[in-house]
Amino acid sequence: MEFSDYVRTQRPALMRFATVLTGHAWLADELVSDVLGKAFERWDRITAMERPHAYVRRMIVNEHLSWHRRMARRRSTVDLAEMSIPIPDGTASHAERDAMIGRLSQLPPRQRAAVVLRYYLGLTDGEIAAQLGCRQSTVRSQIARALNSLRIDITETAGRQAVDTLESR
Amino acid sequence: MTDLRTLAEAFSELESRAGTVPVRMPDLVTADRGVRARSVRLLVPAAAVAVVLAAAAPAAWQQLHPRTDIGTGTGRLATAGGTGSRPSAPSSAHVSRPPSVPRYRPPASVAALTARARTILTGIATIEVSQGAEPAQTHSGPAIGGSLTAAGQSGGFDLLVASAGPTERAQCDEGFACTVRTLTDGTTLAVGAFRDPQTPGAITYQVLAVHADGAAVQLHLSTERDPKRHSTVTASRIPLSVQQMTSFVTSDRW
Repeated sequence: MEFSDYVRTQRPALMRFATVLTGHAWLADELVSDVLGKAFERWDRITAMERPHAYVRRMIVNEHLSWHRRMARRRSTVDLAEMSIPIPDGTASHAERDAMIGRLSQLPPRQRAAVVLRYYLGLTDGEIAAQLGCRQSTVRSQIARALNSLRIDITETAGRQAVDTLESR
Repeated sequence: MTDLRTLAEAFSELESRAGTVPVRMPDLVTADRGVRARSVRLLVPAAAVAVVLAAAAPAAWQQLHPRTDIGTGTGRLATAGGTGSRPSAPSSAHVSRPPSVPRYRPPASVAALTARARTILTGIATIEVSQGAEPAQTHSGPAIGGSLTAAGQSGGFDLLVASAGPTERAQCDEGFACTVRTLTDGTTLAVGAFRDPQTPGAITYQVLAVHADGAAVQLHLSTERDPKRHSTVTASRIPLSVQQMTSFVTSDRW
């Protein structure tokens, strides 16, 4: 596939993923543009892979995490997550959703990445571990901590799904 | 406690925000990658200086009041030191009044600023200046505003160049989603974005660089005709990329 065709067809999906990952569309735009620039330089190798789109997505995650590591090395006293302020739409009915967006922005970057990879992309623990370069047990603990910070009760989800199933019969 | 459906709704909302940034091809000819060294520093409070712009055009610039109401209090960045009472025009560059002996001498006039900006933008963009304020009016440095055109896209811009105090650091306008980092040469760089909820397709980027020698260069660039208030959307995307805007304000030719 030609690089220009790939960008034309896949950039919207990459932008959506990067926006969910970073919390900011404009930051996602910069991130995706940087990564696509790098991907262009090695496009022959990427396009020969079994799943080039998954590889580019992995580049986005790595670039984002790498950026946060560089910030940490400079002993920043302000974490970008603290500065990431969601822009609510002002509708009361979306208060819970907007509160969730706010809590997402407070997650450490690796926890946020793990949550996004699991619940946005639907990757398995093994795939997430390969993506983040860690063990599956680490993935599970990262996600557990993140869900706790996000105040998500998995059992509550399972319960509601069960009720929905019963009511639909 | 909540459940995964709320998380899914949050993802969906974030996805929808991705669509607010117009699709563009990646900048394959990239700017100096050195500026991508990123860090976040504690924002040192700086007293905001009201920049009064004398409009050459009939309509004076107005404070974009809706921006301060964004999110009913959330989504704001505290401009430490207070925004004070901003006058009816303006663009706050978030720099203090210049010291009695400024370290950096900004361009002496609107004409000089315009000429320098055009020189730095040569081959990248053209500007049409419709408003300007001389240093005596701004009490800091000259400022210009108008339309910037690049790659077939034209959007409203304003540019201010001033002299910052030795302890000043870059920070974003109130209401902007913002990142601040320090570059390897000591320049502090604030990059922010604002999406106008009342105007579909309206987005404004702000880039402010406070150089180590005290040069403060701030550029707002928008898809709207006026980067400071609700106006007609004239571009499908910001005419310059964030990298290009960053290269512009961090140029050593200021």
